[in-house]
Amino acid sequence: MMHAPFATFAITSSALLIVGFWALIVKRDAIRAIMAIEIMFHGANLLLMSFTLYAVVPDVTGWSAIIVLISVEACVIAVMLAMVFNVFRRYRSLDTALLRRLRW
Amino acid sequence: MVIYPELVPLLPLLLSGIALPLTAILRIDEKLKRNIACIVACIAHAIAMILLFLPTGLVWVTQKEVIVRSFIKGSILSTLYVDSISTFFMLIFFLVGLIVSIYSWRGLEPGIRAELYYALICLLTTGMTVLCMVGDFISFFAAWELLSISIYALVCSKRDDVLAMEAAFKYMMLSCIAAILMIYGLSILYGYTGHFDFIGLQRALSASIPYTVHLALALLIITFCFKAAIVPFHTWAPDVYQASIDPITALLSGATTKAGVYGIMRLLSISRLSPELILSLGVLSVATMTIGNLSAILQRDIKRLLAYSSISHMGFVIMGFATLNPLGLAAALFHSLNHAIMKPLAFLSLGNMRLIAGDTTEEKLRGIGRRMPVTTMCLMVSLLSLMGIPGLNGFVSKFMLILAAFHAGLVWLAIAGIVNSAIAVAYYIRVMQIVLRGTSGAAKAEVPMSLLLPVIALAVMCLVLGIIPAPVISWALSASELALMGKP
Repeated sequence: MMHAPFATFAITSSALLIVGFWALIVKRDAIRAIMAIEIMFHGANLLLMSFTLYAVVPDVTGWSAIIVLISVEACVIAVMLAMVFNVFRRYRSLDTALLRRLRW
Repeated sequence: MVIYPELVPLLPLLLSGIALPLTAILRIDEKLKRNIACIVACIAHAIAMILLFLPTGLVWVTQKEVIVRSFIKGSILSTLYVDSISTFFMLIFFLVGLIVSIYSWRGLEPGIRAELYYALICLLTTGMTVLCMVGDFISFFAAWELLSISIYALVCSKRDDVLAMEAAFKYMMLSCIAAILMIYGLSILYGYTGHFDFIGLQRALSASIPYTVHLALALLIITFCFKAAIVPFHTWAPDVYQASIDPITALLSGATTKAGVYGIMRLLSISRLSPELILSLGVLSVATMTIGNLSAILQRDIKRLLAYSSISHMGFVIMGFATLNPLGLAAALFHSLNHAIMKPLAFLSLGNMRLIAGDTTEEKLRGIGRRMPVTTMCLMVSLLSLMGIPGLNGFVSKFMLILAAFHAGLVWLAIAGIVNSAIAVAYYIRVMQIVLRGTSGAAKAEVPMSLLLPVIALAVMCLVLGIIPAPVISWALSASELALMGKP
């Protein structure tokens, strides 16, 4: 089976990281921030996947690791959504710029 | 079925973490429910601690050998790796968990669901214990996220508090970015070595390693520094410390920052970090101490001041890693333990004062010393120990750290440590002055015994470790020699 070259995976992964980070900085919407974090998680997983695909010694460890990582990330995202829900119930808004009360 | 004796200390914590939320469906009195939850959590932590120190316990077993086991035959995932570094950190986590559980019995504010609160504390300790026990980085990541999720939820345990919500949200976002960097680091490490498990990595990283692997190690160190609140990654710490309730602040500064320290220690033990990385740890240490101290001087809120002082103390811990000799690593471990005793002591006594004075600002706390003699005494012990007054535990480990920096030839690091100790005295003295001087005029109002007991216990520990530090130091030295084994 033919795969795309390793560089394609690596570049896509870094692009996902950069896009996610940019979105996290620029966007002020809490849901979009969560989506940005998720994009970054996917970028990281993609890098691990490409390393597994092109491993010198073929091994299932990488694949099982990816499955574990994806499930752990799903938990994190669920807790994040719960927290955003909590913030929304209080402020009636998803604007993260409102969260500015703690300043030294 | 095989029973692994190493996992037994974990069982009471895990079981109570799972079982306590189920008590929410019981139709019993809230007060009774709270008492049950508290007793269960305290007993779970106490059992875990006792099992650790039994004659057949992990502490003594790991002095002789490193325990390595694989749960799935032939697989290198889900392995167990316990050595004396792990048991040292497990002691810290159980100790802080136990003290905070006892304190929370009466110290918990009304409106917090006690059974969920205690379940989260148990899960947090479980996560940190698993973190110390696992032998591969994938299980390590899972344990890392377990402890992170528990602490996010604990930070905003006061449900209607806007500040807590905001702090938890910020902490979560930043923490997730750190976790992503960790996955990137792990991927690169796996791509170049083909291993996730510590033993395989140790073998692969003992030879000369390519420059990309140093990048991976740097990414992992950034993640750990984030958890330990080292300076460029410390921005979450003061907000979260200030906004969360007092027992959780004690837990955060005492235990979860140590999870990051454990990560750095483990990384040192399995790989040979490049001189540049070690040097950057030294630079981060100086930056952390200086910025932590200088920001602490500016604070008007005593809790926030102590939060910044906590950051500066984490700088001292990192200083031990930068020296990279057995004395320095032992000092870093010992200072972690001392910090896990001194800082919860300070935050919990401050919590007691908050119960009487209403808040922790300078104005409210003025002259509170006359009203609460016992609590003030304990706070003084903690502040003197943080300052590094001889006879208390903070002095011993700080002295060891500075000595180790001189031994390693890092004179600038040692001098930075000494100067920062001197700067720190300025604001600790100010806190003492606020608490002791002036009269509030009101009658004596000491808090109940159940709130005083954990504070007094910690103060006694400060004194005991200051006078007889030798057993702990020899334990830390054996752990640090293990970490540096086979390295130049």
